[in-house]
Amino acid sequence: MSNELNEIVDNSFKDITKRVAKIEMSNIDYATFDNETSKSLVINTFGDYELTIVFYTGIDVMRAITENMKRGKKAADSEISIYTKEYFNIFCGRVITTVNNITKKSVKFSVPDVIDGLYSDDATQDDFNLNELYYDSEYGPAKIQVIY
Amino acid sequence: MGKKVFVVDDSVFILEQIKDILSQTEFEVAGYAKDGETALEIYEQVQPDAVTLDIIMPGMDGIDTAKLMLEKWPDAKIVMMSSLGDDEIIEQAKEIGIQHFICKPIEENTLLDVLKVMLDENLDENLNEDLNENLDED
Repeated sequence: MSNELNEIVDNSFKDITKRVAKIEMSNIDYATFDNETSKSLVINTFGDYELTIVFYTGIDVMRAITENMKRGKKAADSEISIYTKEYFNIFCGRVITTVNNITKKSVKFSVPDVIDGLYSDDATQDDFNLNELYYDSEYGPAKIQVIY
Repeated sequence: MGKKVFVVDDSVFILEQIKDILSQTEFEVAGYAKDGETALEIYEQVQPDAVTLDIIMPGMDGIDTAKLMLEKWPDAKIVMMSSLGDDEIIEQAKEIGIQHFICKPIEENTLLDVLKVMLDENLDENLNEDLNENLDED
């Protein structure tokens, strides 16, 4: 499942980021994030299987996502979380739809949460599998973490 | 006045996107609700020709909202819109009588085509009703 899941996440992330946020994301080997300035967006599934998807990035990427979704209009600070959550919701929907159809199982997922700083959960250290994918773009790096 | 579309979605981005798509068309956004409960409260007030209904929303989800909406207003024309569009969700929507489903991100042509088809069905039904009334009178 690990490779297949990575492929689903990777394809969905690059496609949705390009279509919805007009940003090209390229795969890189490793991305670092400042604990203070980064943001994390997270969703959890509920239903037949447990999956957590976390998106880590900086404010510059989030602002670019928002302004591109607003067709180039300047984003107020208060809009950034709202638009980025919708972008992340669409990306997670694509991933979970694909996994549901492959596994013939059914889960729904929570409304995305935005967290200041890096996401931390005991699940990342316990008996769960953890996949990480790293990206770079003209606005800065991003990381997707999948915990299952 | 254009045909009235009622947008039910917790995302303002989707509201703005639909407004944008429908501008310069025969449709207009006539009402907005950010959750299912509010949608059921203001449906009568909006009197929409068509409803776009998100599935994942805070509180009552779109499937339950559609179920209640159709119980109360059986002629409601609903298109479900969701980032989550797996076979089971689509099946659940069909089971409660939803014929139209759009996976996000929304493509302009897809939305316009679905609205046209939904409201053409409406026209066909009106025509049929008129024809039946005429037949009864005869």
